[in-house]
Amino acid sequence: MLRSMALAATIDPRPLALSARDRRIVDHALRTLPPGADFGEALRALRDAVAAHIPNGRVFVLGTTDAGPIVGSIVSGVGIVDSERGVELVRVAPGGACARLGRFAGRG
Amino acid sequence: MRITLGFDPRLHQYGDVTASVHAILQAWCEVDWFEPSRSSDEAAATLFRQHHARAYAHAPDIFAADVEIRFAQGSWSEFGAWCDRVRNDHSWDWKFSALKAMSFRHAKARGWSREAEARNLPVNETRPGDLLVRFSAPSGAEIVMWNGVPAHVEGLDERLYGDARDHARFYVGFAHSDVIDCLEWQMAEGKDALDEDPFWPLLGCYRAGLYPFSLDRGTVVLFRFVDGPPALPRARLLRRR
Repeated sequence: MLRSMALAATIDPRPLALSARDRRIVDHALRTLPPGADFGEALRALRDAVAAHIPNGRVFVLGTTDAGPIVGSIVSGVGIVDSERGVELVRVAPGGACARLGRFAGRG
Repeated sequence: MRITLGFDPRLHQYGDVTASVHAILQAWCEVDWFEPSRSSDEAAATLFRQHHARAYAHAPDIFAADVEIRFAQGSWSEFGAWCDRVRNDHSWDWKFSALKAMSFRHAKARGWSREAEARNLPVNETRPGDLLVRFSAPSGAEIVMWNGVPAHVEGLDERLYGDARDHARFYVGFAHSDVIDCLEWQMAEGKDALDEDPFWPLLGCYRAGLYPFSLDRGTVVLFRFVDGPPALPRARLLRRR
């Protein structure tokens, strides 16, 4: 049921890659993240941020990579995933392609 | 163009809400997105009035007692105009401020949560048929997420381009929250009867080929397409020299 996908090597360059709602949620989550947060802490921060901005807000499993699940919004495809570089913000396209938007949380 | 699940829900059990989950998922997969509707305006209006009446019964502070139903039809440019209108109207956010608020209130009143619903599921494992998944990180953080109900319409990216594709994706995402809310409503109720679920008649509207655009607490436009999505482009055969 979960789709396996590879992260694109390049960062999505579109300056408006996030909607206003997604941006508010991401900013909220980032403000609550402790330094060096792991994926579980990032996921909890994202879930709490979604709940703060959307009544009954939910996070969805958007796919999987070798490092684990991609979790985020099923509407926009914006989510987070664990990687060697730390937790990354990504966008999953409807066809399954996954592009990196930037770092969400670092290791160490 | 339809959405397909990666499993046959009829092969899986969902406790006291098994029959309703089967019915809801079947309805979701029966929606033939963006095709001309064969339903009458009256039939579609009946469905939406059922939805609105149930929503009002549960949240009279959010929804008006009566709803004015208007009808519109057209092609992609007209559909896109309605999508843009509701996306850009910040004074009334039907999905996020009204329906989700009602859904949240209902779950809380029933003492239901995704975490409680998923308590018997294995951790960090997905099984065919599971609608929820429990994720646990080494740090101990545990999150329950939705997994089993897709929003990807097969063929949409191949048959639609530019603004039409953008508007189609927006609307399906718009509607996807309704199928999730429909399922969660039943889980919170703990029973199969769908006769009070406000989201069930909404799924009926989509299945009937009428697409609601709520303009305010008491006004909705039901839109129908007059033409279907363009066919897949034919492969061109190159003439041999």
